[in-house]
Amino acid sequence: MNENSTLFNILLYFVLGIFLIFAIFPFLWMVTTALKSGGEVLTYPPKIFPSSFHWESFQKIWTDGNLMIYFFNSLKVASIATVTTIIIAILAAIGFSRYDLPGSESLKVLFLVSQLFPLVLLVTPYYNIMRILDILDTHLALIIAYISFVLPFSVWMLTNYFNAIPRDMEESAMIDGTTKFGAIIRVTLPLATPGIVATTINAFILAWNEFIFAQTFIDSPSLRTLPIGLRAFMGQYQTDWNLLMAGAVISTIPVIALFMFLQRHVIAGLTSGGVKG
Amino acid sequence: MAQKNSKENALLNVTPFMKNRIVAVLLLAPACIILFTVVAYPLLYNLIMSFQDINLLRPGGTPFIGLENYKVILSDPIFWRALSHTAVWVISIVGFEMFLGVSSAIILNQKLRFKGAFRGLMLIPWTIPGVVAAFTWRWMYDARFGILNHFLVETGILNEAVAWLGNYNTALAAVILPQIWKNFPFVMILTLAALQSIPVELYEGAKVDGATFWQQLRYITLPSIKPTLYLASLLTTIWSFNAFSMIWILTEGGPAHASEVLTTFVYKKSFQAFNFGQSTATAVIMFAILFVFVILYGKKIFGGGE
Amino acid sequence: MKRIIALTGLLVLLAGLFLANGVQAQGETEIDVWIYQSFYENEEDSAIVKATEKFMEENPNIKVNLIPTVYGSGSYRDKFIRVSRGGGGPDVIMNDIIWVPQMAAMEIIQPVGDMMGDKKNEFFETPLKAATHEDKIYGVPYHTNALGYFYNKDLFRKAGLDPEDPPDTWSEFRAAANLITKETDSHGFGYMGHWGGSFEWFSPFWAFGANVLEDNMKEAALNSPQGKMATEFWINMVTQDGVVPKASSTWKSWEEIASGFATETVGMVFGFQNVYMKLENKSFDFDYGIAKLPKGRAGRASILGGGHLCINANSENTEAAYKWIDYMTSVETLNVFDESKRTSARKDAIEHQEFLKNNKKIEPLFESLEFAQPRPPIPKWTQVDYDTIQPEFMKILHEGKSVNDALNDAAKNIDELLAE
Repeated sequence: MNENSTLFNILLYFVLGIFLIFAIFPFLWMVTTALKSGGEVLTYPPKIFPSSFHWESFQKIWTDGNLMIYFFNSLKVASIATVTTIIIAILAAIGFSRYDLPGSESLKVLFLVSQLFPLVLLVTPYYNIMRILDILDTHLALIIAYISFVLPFSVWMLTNYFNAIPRDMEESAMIDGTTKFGAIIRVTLPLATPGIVATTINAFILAWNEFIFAQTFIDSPSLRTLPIGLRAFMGQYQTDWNLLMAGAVISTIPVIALFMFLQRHVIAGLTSGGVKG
Repeated sequence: MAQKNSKENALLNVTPFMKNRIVAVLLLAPACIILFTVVAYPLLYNLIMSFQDINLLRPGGTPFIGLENYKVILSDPIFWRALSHTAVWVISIVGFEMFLGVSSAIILNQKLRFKGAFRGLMLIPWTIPGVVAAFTWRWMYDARFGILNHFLVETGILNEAVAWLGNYNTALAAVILPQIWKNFPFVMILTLAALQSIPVELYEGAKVDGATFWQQLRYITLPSIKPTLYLASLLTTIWSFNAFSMIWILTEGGPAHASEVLTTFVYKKSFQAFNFGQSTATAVIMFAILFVFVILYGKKIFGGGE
Repeated sequence: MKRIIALTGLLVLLAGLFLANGVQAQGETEIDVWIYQSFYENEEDSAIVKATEKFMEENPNIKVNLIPTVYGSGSYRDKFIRVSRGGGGPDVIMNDIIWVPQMAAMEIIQPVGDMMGDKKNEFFETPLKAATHEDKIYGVPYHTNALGYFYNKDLFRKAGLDPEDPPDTWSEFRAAANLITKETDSHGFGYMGHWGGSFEWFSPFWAFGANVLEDNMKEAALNSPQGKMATEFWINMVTQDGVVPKASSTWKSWEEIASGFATETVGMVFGFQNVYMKLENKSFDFDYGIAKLPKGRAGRASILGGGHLCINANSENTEAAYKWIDYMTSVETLNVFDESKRTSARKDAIEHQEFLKNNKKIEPLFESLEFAQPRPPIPKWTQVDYDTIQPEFMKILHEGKSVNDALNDAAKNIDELLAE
């Protein structure tokens, strides 16, 4: 089958369509629920589309919910943790991928060790550390926890992407008199952009959605992150699905927007000059 | 730059070989410092507890009792049930996530209209906070107002609604599906990035030779992303093995242990029986299983990557 | 060089900030208090915040930080266990009646009986008993409530039942549940099926004169002839009569109970005052009533719920903490309960609480306090419930195990568990 044939394209869109329905059906259900009135949500049989659009849920969340505060708290914590993690992880990944250090493979496995243990049991000792540092009930505690928890994956992912990039280009740059490290930064790093973007998104989402650390370390309502805020919100309106779903939709859209932005501008801009050239 | 370099070399009086080693150590140092200071203590803390008799309801002494906790756990039939459920859970989740993630990445790497929008939409499940996702599925499964039952009954697939989460036979499958849904976009993102790094020249050459799509897939695409596939399956295995909140919100491992996995078992040992000796012992066993897996499987990754 | 100086300056500044954070104003005691999120629905305008502000005016040397925390065993109790084991946590927590003996056994909360002195007499007897562990009182009773049942008057009419004369015995209750199931589109009765309905089972069980444990709280008694009879009656109603809908098999929260009732999925549910609170916030177009749980051969029985105020064992400000608790359990602050539609555990609440005075609807719930009893206040209760009773209920419901075998096995397991 040729990839320009109509049949091939139909098949492609068909399979994509099935995957897409699977991926977004629950989300669509969230959106239409958010647009229903309170009474319409719990009717039998359930209706897929609201009989008329109700924006009150969104308004209610926007105005009297604290979700906006939680939203910005999450944004702050997840962004700082992500940027820090990615910088440290890039350095480590370069070390693993481009330098020969005896024992570095064992070290890499050791990095993953912390992730092999159920999180519920790591929370108490983490809490002890934060208490000794006297940073409980601060965002700093969360940032430190998230860095330590996202870093191993990020290092593994980035090492994988760096490994996939041929070394000849940085070697030719080195002939021009640049140091090895300099050549990697200037030549290899831009080529690895898709990988760095993927790793960044992964790190961001892990930090953005984390629940149990945030729930244990944070006491003050004004410092709550989004998952905790949503959980509190659920305690309050547990079966007011229209309100809950409006909250969920509002919390999801910015991440999608961020991703689309990264896809369009960063990846497209950088890769066009690199591998493809 | 070059000048500075030679100056450094002169100062340190090291060979370029040694210098590279120093650079490597410097590069790895920040990550090592963070991981080993923050992570070592919690792990040791738990390891030590697993050899102690710690029941919160009996405060006072916490004597060391050797392997007693391990013996108790290994002779607990519910542990074995949870272990076999975990195997089903991990294998089906990793399998489906890899299939869905890799195939959607390959499709979304073709020439398509609105590719960016499609990529964004496919990412949605992953971006929804886990708590919300779990509650949404719980509601979709509802035996009276749930949309799933409604569809299945309307289309005639089922005669009557099923309480998916409350039924012995369906509970485990009903918690697996949302977990796959939630995390397959991760595999997609990971694969998509790898696909984008394959040099276009490879495909161009193949096209000149008249290779079909499937041949390109078989001989260019898949071999190029092999290390990424290994990595993706390794990471999804670790994550699904230790996944907790989806199952906990949906069924808490019930009904009657029908969807009990090791993480929910550990949670119950900790916060229902308050026996931290036994819960940490279970966690150490889980750790050992995963560790062996990572060592064996990690070898493959190193082999594929270097 | 300048950079280094600037950096050092910054570090010193940061260190200073950290230190300053730890230093309190001279002579001022600061206490942290965890309250349920539901007491904080009006945020800073909530009655509990206003009352605490007044307390701080009267006690200028005490500063109270109220920390609303989402209620739930995972988000509230387990969080407290984690943080108190880590040596930290708030000075005071609002605590569920069922968690008090557990926490007392864990030695993570302090006895408060001595501090209470004669104040003990101001509260109902049963909440005090529920907070007693090894002869010491570990919590000051705060709010209290008893289980009753809610019934849909419209469905009663449709089924030919008298909505003003709801069932008063268990056999009448069963007959009503059957009629609703048969005559209307709804089911008769809904319960928390996630736990096998074992929570709702207590009331008929007790009403037939059975007990889960012997009086010494060390041996199982649930497989007594009365216990078997009561359980048989209950299970027959649930399984053979089919009055419980399938949807109810996954319910595990009061919210789902209230929602199932409000959507007319079921005509009757058991509930504390919390179900009333939730129904007040929902929109539905039928009339409902609340009644005392029916009588059995041994009379009426109901489960006691509610909460206590407890002091963290790690707290170094016990005196200030108790002072606040004392104020919050005084007559002056009863409006806090009115705001959240709860009942204070004070005996004189009925005289002072506006919410209770003229509220005919919830009167049956208040009256049920007379015969309500706590589930056995033993530290291992969670384990007895989750590891022995619930699994047997699941086996009866899902595997068709006989009530007789199930109760005998449960009794055997309880004995083993309590002997450990």
